[in-house]
Amino acid sequence: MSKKRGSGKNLGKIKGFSIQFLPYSEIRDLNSNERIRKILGIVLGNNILILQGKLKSEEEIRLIGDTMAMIGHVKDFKGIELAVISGNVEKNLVDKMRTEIVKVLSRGDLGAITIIGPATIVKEIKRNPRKIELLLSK
Amino acid sequence: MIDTPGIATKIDYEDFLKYNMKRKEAKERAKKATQGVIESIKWLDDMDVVVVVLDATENPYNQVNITIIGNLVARKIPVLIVGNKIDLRKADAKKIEAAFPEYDVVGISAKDGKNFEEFYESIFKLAKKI
Repeated sequence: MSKKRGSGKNLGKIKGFSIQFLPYSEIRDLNSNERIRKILGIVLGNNILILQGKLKSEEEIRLIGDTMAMIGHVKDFKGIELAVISGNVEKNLVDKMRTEIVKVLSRGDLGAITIIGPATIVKEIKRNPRKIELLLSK
Repeated sequence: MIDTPGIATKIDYEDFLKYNMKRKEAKERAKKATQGVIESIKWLDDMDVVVVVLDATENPYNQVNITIIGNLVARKIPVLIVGNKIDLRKADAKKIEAAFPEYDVVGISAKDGKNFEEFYESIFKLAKKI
């Protein structure tokens, strides 16, 4: 990520946003610090990130804590919108076991999708069991 | 028992301007709010049960990030969702139940004490699971 993209310079300007898809393989071998740094770099570059899979729960909460600490320090940064959709609705024990085996083999929950965007662009993420809606700021 | 601010993922000082605050004061309040969220996150490691209180007269989706509730459960912290203000005609606790079908939901009125027995029982039930 270049310095310019990660500077938060373009935050709040809907004109320049883009959507980035990140396959899980891009973060699989990173440690928690590196994962969070990578995600922050993308989000501060005015991008909406669609991540294959999901972060560990402690990484998710750390990301929120870190972004809170940045509000007021990074110009125009107001936090993030975050949503996780998991496709793994296990109906029985066999399904659950199958999902767990896939998770172990792929070293991540690939049935999930995580959406993270800067709050200046993503006004709201509405989620219900059937769909997910991204409401963008004008 | 600890009463913390809710865990938000975004804080905009301009939201405080709607309450007739001056810009400087609004920025100060926003700063305090971010610190409150950071504090709440730190407290999470010491929690046995978390009670998420929502306003039953408002849209549940606008009041809490559903991902944060999922995160608490993933961290093995039992969650009880409470819909407050059920004494008001506009209140709809069923809407909260529909929004969070996987979680225990109790409708209460903190103002007149309605349904507190059920509220306490639900907390004890969750605490017993630990």
